[in-house]
Amino acid sequence: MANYDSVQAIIDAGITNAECLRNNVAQDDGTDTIQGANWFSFKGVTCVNLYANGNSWIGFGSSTEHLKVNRRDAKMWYLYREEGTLYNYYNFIKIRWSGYSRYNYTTEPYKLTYDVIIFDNGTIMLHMIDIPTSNNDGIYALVATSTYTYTVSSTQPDVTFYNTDVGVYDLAYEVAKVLEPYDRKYLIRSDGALYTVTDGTLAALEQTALNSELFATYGFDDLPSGELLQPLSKFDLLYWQDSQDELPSIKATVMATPHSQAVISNAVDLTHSTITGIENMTADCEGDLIVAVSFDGKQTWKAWNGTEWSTLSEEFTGMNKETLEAITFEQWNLLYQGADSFFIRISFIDTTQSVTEICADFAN
Amino acid sequence: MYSTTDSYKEAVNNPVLRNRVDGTITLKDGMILEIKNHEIIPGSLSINNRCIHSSSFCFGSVYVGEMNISIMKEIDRYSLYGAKVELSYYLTLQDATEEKIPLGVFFVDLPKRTKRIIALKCYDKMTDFDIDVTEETVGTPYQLLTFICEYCGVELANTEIEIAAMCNGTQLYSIYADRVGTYRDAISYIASVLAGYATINREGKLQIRSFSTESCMDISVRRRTVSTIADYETFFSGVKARFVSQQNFYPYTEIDETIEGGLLLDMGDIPIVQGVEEFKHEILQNIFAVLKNIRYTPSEFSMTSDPSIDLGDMLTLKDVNSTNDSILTLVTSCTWSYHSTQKIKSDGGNTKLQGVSSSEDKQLSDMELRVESKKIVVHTFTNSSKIEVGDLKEEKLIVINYATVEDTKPIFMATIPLEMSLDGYVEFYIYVDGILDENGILTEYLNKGKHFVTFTRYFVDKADKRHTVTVTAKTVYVESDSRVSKANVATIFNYIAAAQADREKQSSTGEDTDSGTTTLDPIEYEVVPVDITPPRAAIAKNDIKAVLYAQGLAGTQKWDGTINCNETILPIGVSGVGVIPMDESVTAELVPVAGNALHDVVPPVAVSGLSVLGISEAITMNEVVVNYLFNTTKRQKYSYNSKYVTDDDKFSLRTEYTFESTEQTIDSGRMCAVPIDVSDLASVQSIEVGVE
Repeated sequence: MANYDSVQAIIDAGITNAECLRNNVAQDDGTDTIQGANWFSFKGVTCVNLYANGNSWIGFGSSTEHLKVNRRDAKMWYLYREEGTLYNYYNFIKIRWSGYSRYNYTTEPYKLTYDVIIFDNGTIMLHMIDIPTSNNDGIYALVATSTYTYTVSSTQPDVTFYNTDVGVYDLAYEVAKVLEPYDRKYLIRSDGALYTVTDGTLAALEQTALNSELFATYGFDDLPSGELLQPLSKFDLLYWQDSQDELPSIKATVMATPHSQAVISNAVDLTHSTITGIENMTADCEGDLIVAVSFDGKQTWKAWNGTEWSTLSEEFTGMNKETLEAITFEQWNLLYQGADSFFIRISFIDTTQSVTEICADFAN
Repeated sequence: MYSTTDSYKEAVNNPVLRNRVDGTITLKDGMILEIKNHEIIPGSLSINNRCIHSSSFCFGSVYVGEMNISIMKEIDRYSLYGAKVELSYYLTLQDATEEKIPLGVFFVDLPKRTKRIIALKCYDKMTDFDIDVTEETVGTPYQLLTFICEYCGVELANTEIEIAAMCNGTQLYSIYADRVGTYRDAISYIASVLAGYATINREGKLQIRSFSTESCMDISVRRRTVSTIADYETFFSGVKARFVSQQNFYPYTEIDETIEGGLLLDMGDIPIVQGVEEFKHEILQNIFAVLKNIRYTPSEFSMTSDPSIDLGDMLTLKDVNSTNDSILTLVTSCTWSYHSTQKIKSDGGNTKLQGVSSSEDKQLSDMELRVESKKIVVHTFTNSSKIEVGDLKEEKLIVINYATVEDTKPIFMATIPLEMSLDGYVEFYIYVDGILDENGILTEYLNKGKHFVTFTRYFVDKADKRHTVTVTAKTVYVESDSRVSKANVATIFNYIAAAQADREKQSSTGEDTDSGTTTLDPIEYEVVPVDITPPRAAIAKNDIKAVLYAQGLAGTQKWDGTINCNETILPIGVSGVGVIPMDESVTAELVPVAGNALHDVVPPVAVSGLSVLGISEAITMNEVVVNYLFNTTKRQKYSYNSKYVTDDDKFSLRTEYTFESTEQTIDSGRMCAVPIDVSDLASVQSIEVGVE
């Protein structure tokens, strides 16, 4: 029984450490029984035996079409079985099914070969080796409590079904991720105090000094839910692992609304000899536009109130789109006399607002 | 690069570093506090500095170094304002000894306390040079730097020999208060002509440094974490600067045509360089000689921490983009973080985009041409529709906009033909920028009928001003002699008619007038009042002719999209081409005298086998600025907090915030932390945490 340091190594080993159960003998529509294991269950049934059918399906614990891999009128010629361990911790069984996708053909376009690996954490992985280019028209599915259909290709040969509950799986197109067997713990730190999660609520620890023993003793196993974290305003989510392996990348995504903000343009240069005034302004925006202008180096911000330019005293105020676009050349002229430049300020007070472009047309 | 031992270089490349940081805080009252390694909050210590101002390579950077640190210490935060913080990094070597790297000297700008933790935001001494220049000085770079440092209370790290050995290090330069804003600006200009950059070194002293051109360290792919390598190199084939010439800035350029595809470095205005033309060219040639040696690939990457790396270092990145290739990259920005990765940025212009000029470049070029222009610019105006002038409100007759590019006196003249419905006054009002000009009301009395009015003005203007001249008019009723006479004549006519009627009446009734008694009834007639109808003046379409002209005005033509280019190619000397002798025959005959010259036409002589390789020509055109666009493409110039505002293709409030884990130290195993701070947000809708 071989031990491996990674799932990829199990795949790469091929049939090196496998026992050959069928050697160049055709199995058309019949089923071969393979020794299973007490440590693997499928839909709540312990899989003492596994079953491999000539029409390219595998049964887990019963001779039933559970895992269908181009299931059609095919023929199996070789069958291998390997049992081993991963990280000297997890048990696995690998089955190699090898044959042709059409029962009466044995040429290369019909060649169908794949490995099915079952782990003692309930994970089932399929790794395709030869995908037929002819008669690749059978069914690809895992029939558990629900039916999980999938596709394979030469660029996507791996399919993993992660067991999340009895008869329930998460499908992922990847080599099975099996965590190495060491402790992984979480704690939360806020205002210098440390917290663990007990019965779904935060519980403060008396200790404040972080060390591995504290993690091992008081840390919690799973990532905390957003509801648990939402009452906190400033905190650290701490992760510790009892290994020198590469740390995972943990990312928190917060959907939130910031306080009101302003975007202020650079100084719009009016000193160019071809500029003799501002003809008008237009805005491409969504939601409410709040715009103000300054012709005195941002000392004061002004808005046209329909009859005159008024000075704005509040930070996030200004004109709307209709007012801005209705200002005439003469009205702009009242404001920009003697100025070498001006600034545009856009205020955002809610998330419905966006501004794509403000265009100031100059009189030349 | 800070000088280190081989043992250090070996240790810093190990996957596991044993290190510590400690230092001191010197309060303004002289009290010294120690900072111990365990007092530093993990992940809080970072130092950031740069040696170019923007995303393109430049000389003369005077960037302020910034250090942030949080420490667990009981101290009155108010006593920390202005305190000096000195930190050093200690790396444990193979033999268990430690090697020290000074991290720098910083001054507390903003201390913040949260319970037992005090967070310090500190800057280096570069901010001490933000003092307005008041004294005018002339000297060599070392003399000027020494003067500035003494004036601003900062030590100068460079020796006189070091400065003199730099490019343009022995020339004389002038600092004038009207051209140089602050002493920090002055240092920037000095560093520019020295073809280097200014920074505050690890001892807290001002140092002018040159950019490295040779690699001082290899960075293996194992040491790099996240990296982005540009697909182009930054190098230069020319340099441009504007020096003072005849009281104005004039552009000087040095270009090496043999360097293909290089960038043109625009150094902007350098007001400390003055003197004869040869001197300015020599300065620029020396800068270009340094610039030509700078060639690197821009990049951005994170690497395992090494505080010995300095700004301006040239590094070799090995095995880039999953190949065996290596590239040279220049450290233009560096953020060193204790117990975290070190972020290094190498900014540089894209040679593949070298033909794209910025709008600022175009405007400067345009301005340079305009300054030289002394031609008379004429603005004209005529009315595009018929105008009826009444007495109720002023009618706008003439509007002329103009802009000046130098001090000038524009002359304004207008001729206005009009037809009066009645006699009366016409008042003309002359406004400049909406304000009635001094003596700007002209009044003319006109009889009924056709007339024309002509008037002239001149204005006194400074350079770079824009004005609008507006002329309006309205009519005013006046009880003129003409109107009174007209009313009187009409009244007399009425009287005569009434008298005649009365006489005829008496004749027809046969009344006896010989009785000695005569009774005369008064003659009744209508007295005609003076006509008080206000006059109206009609001006036909296109009748008004107004003109404003002067030297020093901006052009008047709108660009219609057509670019006309003319170039006269002078005769090209071709050596080694022989001309076979031509035969010419002369015939003698008697001809009438038609002039005092004889002409003969030699037809074009075809020359075969002679090819012209090509003629290079550059075209410069004046730009018309028709609009300004406020959008996200200019976001780097705008002021806003990008933490809260998204700026991908439009501006809006950011609603998604991500926080990522960074490794922290622990006694056994490995640990990382995701610092999540939503205290500065108005409301939180959800938090989702995931492992990648």
